[in-house]
Amino acid sequence: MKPRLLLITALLLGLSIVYACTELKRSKPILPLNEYERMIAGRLDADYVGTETCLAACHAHDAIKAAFDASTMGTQLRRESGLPLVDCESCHGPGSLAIKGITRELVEENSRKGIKTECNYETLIDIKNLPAIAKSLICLKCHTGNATFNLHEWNAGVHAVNDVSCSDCHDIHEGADLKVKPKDTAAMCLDCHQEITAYYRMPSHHPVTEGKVYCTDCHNPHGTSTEKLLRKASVKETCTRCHGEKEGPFLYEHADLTDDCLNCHMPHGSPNNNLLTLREPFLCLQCHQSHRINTATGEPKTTALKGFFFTRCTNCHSQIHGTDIPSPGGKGRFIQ
Amino acid sequence: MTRSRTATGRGKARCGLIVLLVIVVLTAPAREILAEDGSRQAYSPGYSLGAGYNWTGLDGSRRVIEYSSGVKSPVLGADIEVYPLPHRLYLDLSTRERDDLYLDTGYAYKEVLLSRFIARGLTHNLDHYVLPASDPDEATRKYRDRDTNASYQTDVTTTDLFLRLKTPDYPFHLFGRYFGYDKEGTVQQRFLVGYFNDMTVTSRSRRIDFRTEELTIGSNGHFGPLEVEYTHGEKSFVPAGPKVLEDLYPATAQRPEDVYPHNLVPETRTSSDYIRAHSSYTGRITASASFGSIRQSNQDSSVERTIIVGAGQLAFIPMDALSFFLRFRYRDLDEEGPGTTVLRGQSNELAYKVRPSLDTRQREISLCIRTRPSRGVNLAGSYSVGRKDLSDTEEWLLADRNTTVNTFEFKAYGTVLKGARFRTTYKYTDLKNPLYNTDPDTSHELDLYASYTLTPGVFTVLTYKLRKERRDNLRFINTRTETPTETGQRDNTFHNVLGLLVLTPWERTSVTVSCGYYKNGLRQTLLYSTFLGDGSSEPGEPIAEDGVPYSDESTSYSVGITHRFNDRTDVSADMGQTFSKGKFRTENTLAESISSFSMLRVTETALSIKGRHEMNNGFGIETVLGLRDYNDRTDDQNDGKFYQAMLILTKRW
Repeated sequence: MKPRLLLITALLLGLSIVYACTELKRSKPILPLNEYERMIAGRLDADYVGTETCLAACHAHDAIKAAFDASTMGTQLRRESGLPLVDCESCHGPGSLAIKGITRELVEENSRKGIKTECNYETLIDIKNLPAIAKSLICLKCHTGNATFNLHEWNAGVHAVNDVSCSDCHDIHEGADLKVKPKDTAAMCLDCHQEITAYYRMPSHHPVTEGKVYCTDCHNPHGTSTEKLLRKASVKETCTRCHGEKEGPFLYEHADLTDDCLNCHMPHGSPNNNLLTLREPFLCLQCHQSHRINTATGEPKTTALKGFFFTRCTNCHSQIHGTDIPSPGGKGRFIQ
Repeated sequence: MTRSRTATGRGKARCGLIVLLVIVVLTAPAREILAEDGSRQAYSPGYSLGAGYNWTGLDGSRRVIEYSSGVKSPVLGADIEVYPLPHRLYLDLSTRERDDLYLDTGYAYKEVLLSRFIARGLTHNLDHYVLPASDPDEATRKYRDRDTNASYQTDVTTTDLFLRLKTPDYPFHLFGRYFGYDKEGTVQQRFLVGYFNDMTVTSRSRRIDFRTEELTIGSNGHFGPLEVEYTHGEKSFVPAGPKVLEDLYPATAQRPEDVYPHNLVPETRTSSDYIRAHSSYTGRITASASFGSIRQSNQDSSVERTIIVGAGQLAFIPMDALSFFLRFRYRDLDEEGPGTTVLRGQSNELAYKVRPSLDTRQREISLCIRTRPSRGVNLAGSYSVGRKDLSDTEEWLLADRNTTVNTFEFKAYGTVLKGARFRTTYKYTDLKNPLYNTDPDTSHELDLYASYTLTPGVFTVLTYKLRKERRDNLRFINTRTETPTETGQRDNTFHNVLGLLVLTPWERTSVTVSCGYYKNGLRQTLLYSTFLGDGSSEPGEPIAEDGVPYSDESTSYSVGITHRFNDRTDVSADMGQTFSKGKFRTENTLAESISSFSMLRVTETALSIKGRHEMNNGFGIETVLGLRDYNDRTDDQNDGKFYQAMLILTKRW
């Protein structure tokens, strides 16, 4: 490349970076989601009253108060957290109508009488009954790229399409950095995916219900470009994250079948050893013609011989995922 | 007896964690909360520590505790959250038995730094497949287990470290992730020594020490309405220690007697680059695209694989009642090998030609439309078409070089009555030129889910999945003549049912009953090779047997009762049992005994009683009593019982 062309390219690249940096903070939707944005705006005739009002008079005694204080969202109420500040009303909408007529004295007096003073919740955003997209939109207002960047595929992902919202998994008022603990994921995911629990009761299964492997080891609930929300680009890449010895590439491949581990394995659980979809030798006989079932003189093979040739195929073909060493016959039979 | 033992390193790690724990507890400053008058007051950090002992007893096979070491050991647990703002730190640690570890800890500083470290350890007890005794009449067909008394086990340690740095007040991030996976122990290595003239099915112990490491770094930032992320990853798989075995192989027609290598576990390396971009998450129109390049190489045989992946998504939500989702993805796999290989025996070197691996190219596009005809009811329909092309197929005897998959899916879900939710999906798949016998021509799939809260004390869930697949003209390759044969059919019916009933007859008592049934039933044509039968080694016509039945069934039920005496004391008891069975039966008189080698009958039972009591001073006590039973009804090889009693004292601050 000529030096002048190189200089121009570098200049253009530099200008692009400078422009991009000036634009870095601006993030606007291409087209606003008007209908849902109206739902989460709250009452237009209400005013904002501030977090201190919510917490000081009433919600100081809530059972969730301690957990809320320890949550990221709770710490974000305080300037000293160094985090982007939020407010109760950032999510729940302006609260002046909700506390209309409620004074601190009234709350204390009712409290002495054992009466719980309730806000007029109907004037706040009815988060529980919002459509899932609108519910998620409350979170996504802030969690676009600013604080979270693992949501690239959320909008067209299977969870969003099936009306799952952020709050179905994340407890906004509790927990460090809104994270779901890995050991809690099984109970949470299986709550909706009940049918999967049956697999974890089978003789061969990944130790998910035992708490040793987590749903999020393989799946990314925030959406991916792969089927089944796999964390990696393919089934094989997902499996070989742990089962690296089966990844290859090998000199002798099992056609392209090992590119999709699901051709032979059921990832959640199976009645058969090694999570096999079917037991050997039937598993292999689905595609492969069997060894010979008679002798050279045409007699039936003895029971012992049948046992030799029609038992677990992997007793001999033990490199079934691929091998770099030719078989005694000089081909890739996965024997050696 | 060979037993893997790798707890030394993990023990040191555990000691280190305990020291860290003590330091955190002693040095953590108090958090602040808002007092009732709005001023700030300090309160103690949230700590919970637990210690106890786990008594265990094992009778029989370790299969009953597949993922547990099953030995007596101390129990330790800690849960800490401290927020001396602007620092935020949490730690969740537990270890309930030897080689068991769970650690989830994170530290964050303002919005600038976010880190998380997750470590865990597990034991996996592996089966020892018992080889039959050699038949004295079959001198050239033998079995040999060189370690008949060995028990096999691997210990796995996983470490996952995530670090994110963010520019203050700007949406620009730098991040890195390290994932480590160590598996070491002793496994059963089965292999064949010899060839058709003289064969010995052999089993021996093999020490393994596999280490997978993956490091990913990347950056992410906003450029107006576009967010862009770039990541680069390096992964390595290294089998430490001897990665290949050697044995004396008898002479065959193709090669002389010699000591040859076998069962090589190659070292592999992977390098990947991904770039992802998307428009805003929140708009009426959102779009995302990702592109990735993955390069893998085998360090032992110099085979290289390149995978190019790409995907795009477009979501358009013009109104609440109507949404469109368009997706596209592709994947190209290209594998390049040396074409020849040299087998190096102790005294001989033999060169072999290697057929080229298959290269694949996959494309898929789908459109989904969702509507809400009325509040609480959603309808969705989608169509996708995918195509897979194979190349370098000349030496693979595949009839077709491509297959096309058309899929139609209809879904309805929502709430029809108060407390009643449903979800139902029907999927029809049609394959043109299915490449392998396991691919159907057509497939129908039905998925049902219904849950109903009858009263506040009665909650039910029912799920049912049915899949029916049909395939005509199965395709086999005659391994003797290397020619394709087309014959027979395949029918596959799959059921998975799960019912759940949760009763809360009294305010403090709940009863959960669940039943599950799984069945995978097949009827397929099998093709058996034959000798011509004239005393020569010439092949005869293969024999096809139609409709050979195969089935797997698993029935499980569980009952659980929880009673809460008060806020401080509760007990629960759970009992579960799973019956699994499987068989396949051939009517061919020559092959009839095959089915006897493929039986499955297993009953697993688990019982547990748990109790918890908290005292006034923050102390608490937790107990667990457990019993597990594994009953292998085919040959009793894996029968075993496991008993457990655990006592833990806890203290909360």
